Amino acid sequence: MTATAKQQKRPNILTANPMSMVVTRGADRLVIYGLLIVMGLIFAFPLYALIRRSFEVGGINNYITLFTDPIGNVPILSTYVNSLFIGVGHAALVVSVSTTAGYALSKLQFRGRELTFSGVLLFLAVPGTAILIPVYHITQQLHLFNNYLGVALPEAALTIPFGVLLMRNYGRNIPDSLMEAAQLDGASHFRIFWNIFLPLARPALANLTVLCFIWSLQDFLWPSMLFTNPDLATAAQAVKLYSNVIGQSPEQYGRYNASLVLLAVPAVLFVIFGLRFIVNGLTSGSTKE
Amino acid sequence: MKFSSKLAASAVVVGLGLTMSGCAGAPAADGPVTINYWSWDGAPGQDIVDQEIAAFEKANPDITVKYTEVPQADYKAKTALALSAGEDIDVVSVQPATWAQEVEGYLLPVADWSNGDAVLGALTPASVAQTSRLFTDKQLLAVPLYLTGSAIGIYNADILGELGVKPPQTWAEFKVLSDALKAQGKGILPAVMPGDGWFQDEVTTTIVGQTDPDFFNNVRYNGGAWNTPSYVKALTDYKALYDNGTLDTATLDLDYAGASTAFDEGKAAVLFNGSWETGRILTGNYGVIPFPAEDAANVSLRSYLDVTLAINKDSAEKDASAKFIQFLAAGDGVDIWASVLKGIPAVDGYQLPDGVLTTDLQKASYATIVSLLSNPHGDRNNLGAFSDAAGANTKEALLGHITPQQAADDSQAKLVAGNF
Amino acid sequence: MKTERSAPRKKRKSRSDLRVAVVFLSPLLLVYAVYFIYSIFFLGETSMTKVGISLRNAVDVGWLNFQMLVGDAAFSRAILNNLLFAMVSIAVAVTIGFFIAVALATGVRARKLFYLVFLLPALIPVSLVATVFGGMFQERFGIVNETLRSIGLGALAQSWLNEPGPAFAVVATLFAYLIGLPIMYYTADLAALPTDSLEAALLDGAGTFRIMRSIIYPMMTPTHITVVLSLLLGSFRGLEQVYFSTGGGPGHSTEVVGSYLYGYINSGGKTIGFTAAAALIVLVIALIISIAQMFATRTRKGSR
Repeated sequence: MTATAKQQKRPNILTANPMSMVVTRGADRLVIYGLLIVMGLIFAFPLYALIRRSFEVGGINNYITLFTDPIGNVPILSTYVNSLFIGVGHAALVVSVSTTAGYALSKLQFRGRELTFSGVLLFLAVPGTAILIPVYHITQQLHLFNNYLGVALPEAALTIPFGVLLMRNYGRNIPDSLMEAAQLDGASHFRIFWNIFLPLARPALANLTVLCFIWSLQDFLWPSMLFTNPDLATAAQAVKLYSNVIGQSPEQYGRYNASLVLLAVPAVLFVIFGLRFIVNGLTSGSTKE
Repeated sequence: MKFSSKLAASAVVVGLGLTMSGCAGAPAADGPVTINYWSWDGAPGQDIVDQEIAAFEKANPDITVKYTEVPQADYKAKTALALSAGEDIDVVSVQPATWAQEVEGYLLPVADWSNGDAVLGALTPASVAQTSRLFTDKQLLAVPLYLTGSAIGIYNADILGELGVKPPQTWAEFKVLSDALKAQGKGILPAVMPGDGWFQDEVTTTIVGQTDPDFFNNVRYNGGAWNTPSYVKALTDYKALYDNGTLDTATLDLDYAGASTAFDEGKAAVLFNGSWETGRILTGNYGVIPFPAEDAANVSLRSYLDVTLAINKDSAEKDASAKFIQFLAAGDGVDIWASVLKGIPAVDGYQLPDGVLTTDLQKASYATIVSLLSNPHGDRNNLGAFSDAAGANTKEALLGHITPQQAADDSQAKLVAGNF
Repeated sequence: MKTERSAPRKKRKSRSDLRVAVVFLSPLLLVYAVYFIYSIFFLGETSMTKVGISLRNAVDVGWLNFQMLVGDAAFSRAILNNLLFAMVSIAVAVTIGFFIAVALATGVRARKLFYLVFLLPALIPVSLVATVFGGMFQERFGIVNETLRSIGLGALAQSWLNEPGPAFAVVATLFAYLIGLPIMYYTADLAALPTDSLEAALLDGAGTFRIMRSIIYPMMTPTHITVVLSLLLGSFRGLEQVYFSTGGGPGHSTEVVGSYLYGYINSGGKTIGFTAAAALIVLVIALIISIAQMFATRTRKGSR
């Protein structure tokens, strides 16, 4: 227990910093700053271009009027909320399916386990567009059009192979001795899963949850195919929705760009307030053998 | 596993379906009903539809209309899927193109509408005949709203006035405009238009039709070839306009909204687009010109119905739906969309309400549109995705990546290969 | 980050948890059965027909759709582009992305601002970023050409979106721009880097960049592999990058399989059988990539 717990307790890079000793000379620090600033400017250029565009014609009014009269009657705030709800469903599905499967594939002994695992991994690279047509019909049969779950399900289906890989590898790093001790005490697998496996896997779960939210926020494909109700439009979908509306009344070009800027706000908040969480939650190493 | 889960899902669906149809089977009586209306943006568009619905609900307090607008680029796929999925759609806009046959199995024949005869009686026979041509065996499954055509030009009268150039009818005259703008040095572009494949195809077919009027109908209805000498010549002529400075390839990467915006901001003298953009003349000092030709006598375009309305044959509210369509296509609703110049109404003997067209330029422009749409060289009964592919080839030829002959041959190959 | 187990797992062939395993695996199996297995059967059936999106009145055409695909240069181009774009983003991520992560980890000022700038593009919807790119590179009104002209480099102004070379460069740049996730992976793993080898290098008197290149870089091998795989998968799942910037044009020079399939699905014509055939081929390629990744990780494990 202690060994594993220690392994998960990582130094927080934003506070204690052993990496600072890498820079051995003051001049090197200047070079690093120089390179970072140049690259930072390049990376910021598209954002600058967008923000500049967003003030064209109407100035700050482009933003103000978005709150009183949103483009296409789709308020930006509601697109965040929709993305968030889908993210919750996506993460819940991925976490529940991946942890149970990850437990079975790392901690249970049965014939064909490795074969099953390989079978799961086969679908790691499936692009959503490839299963778009069948998924539409599946959604139809499940009566899940215009339903958050209808979008969260296919999103989860595409993330689950990755989730299982992550949880299974994480599970293999949890010493079997812990389980065996519990088993000797007469605990069932369900108990072990709930009381030992899940708590130990918390960092991996956090990692997976963060990624699910990011991917739901970014997903354009599924909402655009499975939602027709504009009240359900997600942030990624709104980009296209808004551009369709301005096609009809082009004087709204500045307002359109202003709404694009606002669509990026959740990500800004995420970096400012959640960076620590991202850095500590992402455990890329555990995705591999 | 797979089959049992599918079966289970089907069972649930069937069960639900039975319950729902059971409810629907009960007489709707006079209780309030809600109907779902689907259309794409611009047909006639959210703002106008909102006004239509408000007016309709006022006149019919027992009916509520719920409108779903699907982006035009997604409409064909999404709506066909939604119909096949049994989504709750009562009134559906049908694009008058090959797509109509894709959904015809879901539509209620107009003959079975409670007010079918009354609606049809108000419309021009020609437009009704055109509508029936959309469907297998010419069975009438929808009614037309209005006619549009493409391509046309909308010009900024202020820019032309400042230069002292008259609205061009021929390419020679257009070159005068381009040269004058260049001499002026303000960086105003002679023309912008959507660079999207489908619109570049609209332009090319417009130019072909100016000299070979039968070209498009021949392809569309008689299995004619795409790579005719007239097509290759038209594309060659079109490309020459870019090469000699009449038009500017730097505008070919503008999309629909980008082109409209550039025109609205006074960065271009002329906007080439379809006649569905005519409403723009009410928003500024703008006029309409035909798409220019080599010879002014040849200016013409392809025109066709733009929007037709149909009832889902599985609709639980067929009567209310028919009532709504009658309102939109032949009733008080016509004035609302006609007044923003969406298109030429299919209503027989229709006159625009007084006060819509106020200036002489507006009146002359509207007359130009009516005359162009009434004398088309072909049906704008488009070939769906093929137009995109042919237009992409047009663009490749304009940019000099392939020759006009290669573009025509490749499009022809795609036409016969049949992956569209 | 993670430690290899020091002793091989105890083999307990005598015990089988098959029944429990079935229970634990059943949610997974259900999802797979519905979303993958059913989909493959569905696509297989559809790929032999000519049919529209509503799947009514399907006409049997045998292998015709596959024959058309084999002859379709745009399709093979799309597959090739997926690999090329993946290579670009991988190359950028394991060099520039790695450097950014290390540089920021050494404790610079305004670190949050830097993180914001580098991570933001990967956290906002790709559809948004790609739309901005499309607008930026517009030939006449785009800010890139405007800027070039205003600083006297008008000669460098290009028809970015209409010429195959520049358009390809635009999309490749966009893929390279979205390396926020790799930077996050590196940042996270740097935080867990054992510091003793760094200290040893310092005692040897190695310079800053030497340490980065010769000490830290090799130590991050597991992260590199994660980055490479995630970008390869990401490229294969890419759609918005192309759909919202170049639309796959000019011609099909920037098409990727995502935009290729999406275009045919939304065409509204009788293209669904053809698309299903293309989707099946894409699925097969996806499976091959997955198998390759299994071998890659397995080999690595064996080499330890």
